[in-house]
Amino acid sequence: MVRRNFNLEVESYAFLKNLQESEDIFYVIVVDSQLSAKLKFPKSIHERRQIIPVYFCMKEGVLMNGDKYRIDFNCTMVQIREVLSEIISRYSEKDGNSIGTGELTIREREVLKLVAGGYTNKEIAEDLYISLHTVISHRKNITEKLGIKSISGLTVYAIMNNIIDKESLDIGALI
Amino acid sequence: MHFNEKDKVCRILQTNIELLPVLNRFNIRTGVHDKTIGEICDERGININFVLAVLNTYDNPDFFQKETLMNVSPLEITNYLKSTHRYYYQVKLPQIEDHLNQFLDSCETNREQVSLIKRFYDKYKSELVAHIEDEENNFFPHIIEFVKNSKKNLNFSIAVFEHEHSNVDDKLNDLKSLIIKYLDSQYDDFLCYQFLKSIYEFEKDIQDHARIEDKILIPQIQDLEKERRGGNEH
Repeated sequence: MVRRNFNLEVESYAFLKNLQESEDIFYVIVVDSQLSAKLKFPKSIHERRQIIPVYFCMKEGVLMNGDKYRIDFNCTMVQIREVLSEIISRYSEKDGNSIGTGELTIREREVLKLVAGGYTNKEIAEDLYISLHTVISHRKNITEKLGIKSISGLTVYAIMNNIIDKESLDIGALI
Repeated sequence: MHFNEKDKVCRILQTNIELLPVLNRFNIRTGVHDKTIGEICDERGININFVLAVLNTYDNPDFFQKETLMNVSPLEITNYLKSTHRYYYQVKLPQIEDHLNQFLDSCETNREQVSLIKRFYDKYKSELVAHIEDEENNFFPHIIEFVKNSKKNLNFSIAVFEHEHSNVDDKLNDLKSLIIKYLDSQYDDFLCYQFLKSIYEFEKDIQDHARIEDKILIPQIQDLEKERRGGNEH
């Protein structure tokens, strides 16, 4: 376990349900602390690769949209990256306060974004620090939920729903 | 509904008008008064078992008459499939494109989405056309040559033709999902329905077509290959 200080930007905080344990999870990105706070991780964190439960303990007050905080992480770099990627994918949603709205979970949206960007399953697995098997499983779920299977179809959906920016794609190659 | 040779053509069409294009592929058209399908096939030298198997399977996809179809000559099957291609090129694809353009032109809002869908359709169409052309220019000629020439060397195996239908099917399905579920625009409702209806009809037809290729024609050629190989070994 490594101790890290992270200074990151807060735009809003997230409220997610961990479907495996029906516990509430907070993810926060913070910057330039005015309040210091401690993150607690439950003991079984190393068993859950995809969603990291984070219990945020505030010294005072509550988390506010737009406020800046500093968080001391007491966890591994991999776990931190996983938390960050969850939050970053959430920020690409239009409504920053609602998580996992629409058909797809946050993770599925992340995977979809990479699929639409032309990444292979192997590249997606490496990028998200998950197994190839998990990527394939996410893709199956995505196809089932959306009713769209082909990469170009998924790309169209992703652009239509602002999951990916059309300008950032080599659209001729994909559609 | 299970048709037999005693059924009148008019009754077949009155039961399921979608069978008209299918009959057309055998050069059977409307206006034959009260003649039965058996009489028409007899008059014109058409294989009645083949026609009935195709009609019945098209009418009820769960009722796939594999054994009957396996006994039809691969040359007749290939002819039928080529007729189907002509129907797609000359009738169905132009119709779909026409309906799609009318529908998309009626979309007043969210033109970005509209252009994405058009683009997606164009990609689907070009893949489909390439697939059909490959069948017409490579797949079918090889099969016809192989069947007709019993002394032909087994230099080619049907296995060489990676005959993949699923990619093309997937995109058609995706097109439906994108429009039915996700297109968020003001448009003419009837034009939307008209387009989707033509897609659904096409999808049904092409699935039937693909099934005949995959479950009948290819196994027939594989059996013939085996037979000839067995003969050559003795």
